[in-house]
Amino acid sequence: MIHNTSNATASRYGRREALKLGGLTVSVAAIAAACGNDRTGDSAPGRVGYAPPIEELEDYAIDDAVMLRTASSLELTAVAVYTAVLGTGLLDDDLTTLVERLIEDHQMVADEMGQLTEAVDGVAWKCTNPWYMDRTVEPLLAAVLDSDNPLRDIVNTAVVLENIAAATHQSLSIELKDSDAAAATIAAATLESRHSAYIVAVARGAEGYVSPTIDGDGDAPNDPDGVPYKFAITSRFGSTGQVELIAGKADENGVRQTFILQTPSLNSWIYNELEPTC
Amino acid sequence: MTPKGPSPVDLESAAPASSRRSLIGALGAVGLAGAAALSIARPASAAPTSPTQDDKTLLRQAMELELTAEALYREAINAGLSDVAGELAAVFAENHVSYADKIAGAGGFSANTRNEDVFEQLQSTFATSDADAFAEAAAGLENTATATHTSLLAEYESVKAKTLTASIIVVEARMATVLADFQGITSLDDIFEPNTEALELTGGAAS
Repeated sequence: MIHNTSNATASRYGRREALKLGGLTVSVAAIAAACGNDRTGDSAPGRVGYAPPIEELEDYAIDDAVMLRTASSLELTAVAVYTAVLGTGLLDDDLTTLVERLIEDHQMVADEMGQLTEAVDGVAWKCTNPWYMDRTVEPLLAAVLDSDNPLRDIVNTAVVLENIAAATHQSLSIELKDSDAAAATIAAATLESRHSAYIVAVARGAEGYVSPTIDGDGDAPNDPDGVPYKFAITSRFGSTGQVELIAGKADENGVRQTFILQTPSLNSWIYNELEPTC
Repeated sequence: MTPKGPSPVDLESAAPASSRRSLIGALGAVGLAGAAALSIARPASAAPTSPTQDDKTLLRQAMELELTAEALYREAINAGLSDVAGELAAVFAENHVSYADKIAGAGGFSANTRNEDVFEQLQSTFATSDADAFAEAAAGLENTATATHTSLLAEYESVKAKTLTASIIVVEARMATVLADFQGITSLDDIFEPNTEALELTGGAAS
């Protein structure tokens, strides 16, 4: 009987159970140690593998020169987009004339922002915005050129570009300390708001004048392909929020790409320390 | 459609301010009522959040201009304006009363007075059921309002007054553009750079 009892005990605490029990003990001990009051050492989150150490980002100043350089970069990004659009050969004579004027206006505003940058002791930025170009413009243009309705997407892209440029200048007109720069940016916001409204008016006529959702009620109407219509006037007050653009051909599920455009923020400012990219 | 000619909004005006090319130079010359007594606009970092007493004086003038615009659109609607023009008049009237309400809210006063001088000057022009005549008058009004708010923007001291005004300017510019398209204007110079001057808001100034 005693022998039998010993065998029963051995079967309850076999090799596997011993390993489990040992692992549990070590885990509880580790947790208890981590929660202890006398814990010392690095407080950074733990890291796994051989990833390089995290580099702290520089805390660059955002001053008038940075804002004006960024404004220049957005204007030149618009010039680049419109130049690419002209190259598609899809525009009729009226739209070609309009796009040529838009290029002229955006180049003029870019030059003005460059002069104002130098007036506040900055270095004028003469390139496109690399953040917007890499993450939004290049994939967007690729989608537009591959679209089942590229002309619709070109018009919608132009409207959204003008809206985001106007919103950017609207914001900068409040943020800028230099009074000449503030005046120039609200003038640019006004001009680009007119651009946006007129593009819609040309493309859609009276149906595109005022959004039925101007009061914030209801759903924005879509075209037969499910792409939201653009309107010259979408809200009672000028918005500086992000804007969405649906473009490109539908995939096998009928879904088109959605692009989000936002006014400049930390990643897209053209800091004074940033070297020219062109 | 009516070709673009001189603006029917023939009001006493200050220096041109809506032209992009001339804006910077013009802003310094704009003579708004009481502006001489105001201090030079402070840097944004030192700007007060809420409207100052000087801001409130200018905000009241801006509010009265907005209620005047709303009343003028109501004149057109009451005169029998219909179809697209009638719909635009209704929406734009609502826009302007919204601006008046917001401006009054920012300034801490009621939106209950309009600029009678401006209203009387334009009342007969707006009291029409003719869509083209209405659109021409309304486009002039919107461009004038845009230029006037732009002039005021340079004078405001507080962030709140500046932010609100900027958000009004860009939509009034859109309204003017829609009205220009409705008139059949195709000159891109006239659409994008209308030669309109800011109002000299002397008559509607309140203490």
